[in-house]
Amino acid sequence: MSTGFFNELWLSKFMIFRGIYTCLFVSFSSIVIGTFIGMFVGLALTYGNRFTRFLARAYTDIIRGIPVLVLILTFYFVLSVIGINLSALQAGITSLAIFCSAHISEMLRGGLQNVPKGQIEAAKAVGLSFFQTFIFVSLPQALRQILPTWINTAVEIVKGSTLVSLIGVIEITLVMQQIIGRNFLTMQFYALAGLIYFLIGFSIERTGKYVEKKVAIK
Amino acid sequence: MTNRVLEISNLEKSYGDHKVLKGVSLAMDKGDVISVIGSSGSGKTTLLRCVNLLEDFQEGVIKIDGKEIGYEDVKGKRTKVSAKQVTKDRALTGMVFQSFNLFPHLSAAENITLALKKVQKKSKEESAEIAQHWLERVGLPDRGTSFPGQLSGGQQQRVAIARALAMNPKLMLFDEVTSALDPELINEVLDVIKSVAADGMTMLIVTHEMRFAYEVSNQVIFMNDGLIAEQGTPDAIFKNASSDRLNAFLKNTKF
Repeated sequence: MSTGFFNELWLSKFMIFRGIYTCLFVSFSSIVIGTFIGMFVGLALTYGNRFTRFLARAYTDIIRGIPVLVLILTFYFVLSVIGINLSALQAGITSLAIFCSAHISEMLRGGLQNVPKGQIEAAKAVGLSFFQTFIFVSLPQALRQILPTWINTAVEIVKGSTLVSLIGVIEITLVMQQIIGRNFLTMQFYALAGLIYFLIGFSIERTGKYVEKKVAIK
Repeated sequence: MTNRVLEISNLEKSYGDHKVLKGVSLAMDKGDVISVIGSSGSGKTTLLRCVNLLEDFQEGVIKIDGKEIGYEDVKGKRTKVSAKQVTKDRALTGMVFQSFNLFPHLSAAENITLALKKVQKKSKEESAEIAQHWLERVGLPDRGTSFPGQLSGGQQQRVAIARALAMNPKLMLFDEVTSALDPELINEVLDVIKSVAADGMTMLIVTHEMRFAYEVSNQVIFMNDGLIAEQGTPDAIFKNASSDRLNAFLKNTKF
């Protein structure tokens, strides 16, 4: 039994590596793009005028209210109806990035609004402009505060990336299903999938904790 | 007139219907140290914050070195100046706050160099030198690398004073700078302020420390209900208080 598992594991090693690569690629791209978009939406939420705040608020609330799977299916199947044809990979990354951005924006807003008013006044008093105050005073403090939540979101995105298997992106989960379809070692390969996800998530969290400690305010 | 650093005429400020300043006029020459005393709600802090343009005001004119700040006349209409100009006007004054407001993510020296580099566009080396000079001036020569969280309240406030002075302001504003300090830390901060005053810096000081106000100032202002109720030399205010209102206030404060 166990020799059979290791034998099968050896045979499918390249598939698994590709699955892991795809999972990491999808997650990483989504987190980077999502953080980038989320920053802008978060800024609009915090500093925007009534109109931009309303738009940003609507975007954030609507996206956060929709299950990720629905977002993924929408981007893959619904957009093609109106002539936008995204590949499964593109649709997967887009939907996860958008999901991620809504969370980042809300986080950033919270972080920025939690910076004490006195900090902003002190920055003004020494003559920093609005933009300089943001870059050198508010943002560094807000980022430190949102780092733990951001790490959490990154782990959530990795876990959420399993869902893109449903539109045919061959990441870890779909690879395992394909392998199991060939050798019926259901328990072993799903356990392996679980272990791989755990290791990815665990490494992200450990790295996050390390960075948190490194940049902590003394 | 050439020595006139600050001139406030008929300053009025309200929050909604509530009028906080009801026409305050005040002039300061170079080297003047004026303490502002009065009960809470009398408008002392608001007056200071208006001079630093942290608050808008509805009526009146504030001039620093003869130039109006915060507002300008555009075709006969009182108009707020651009955000950029507000930032420039604000740089004329240095402000020290009750709650220190040091930037917690920056070291003591970085707290001082940030604006030197970003606002005054000084080089890294020059900024560091200036920071070290002012840290020495406030008695903290070897604390440059410490972070605010590693300093006592008194030390933090001294760094905050150094940060404001390093910008070479025309006028220093102190807003109840010892109110958040433990009693045993108050004197180290007051001593620093006294020594800066002795150097000829023009200072407007809102304080609850009556003895300090008596010792440091050449003029004392007693504010009551949004107006300057009394103004005079420390002796005139503290030793020969004439009005009932001032006497009542002084009776309730520790000298």
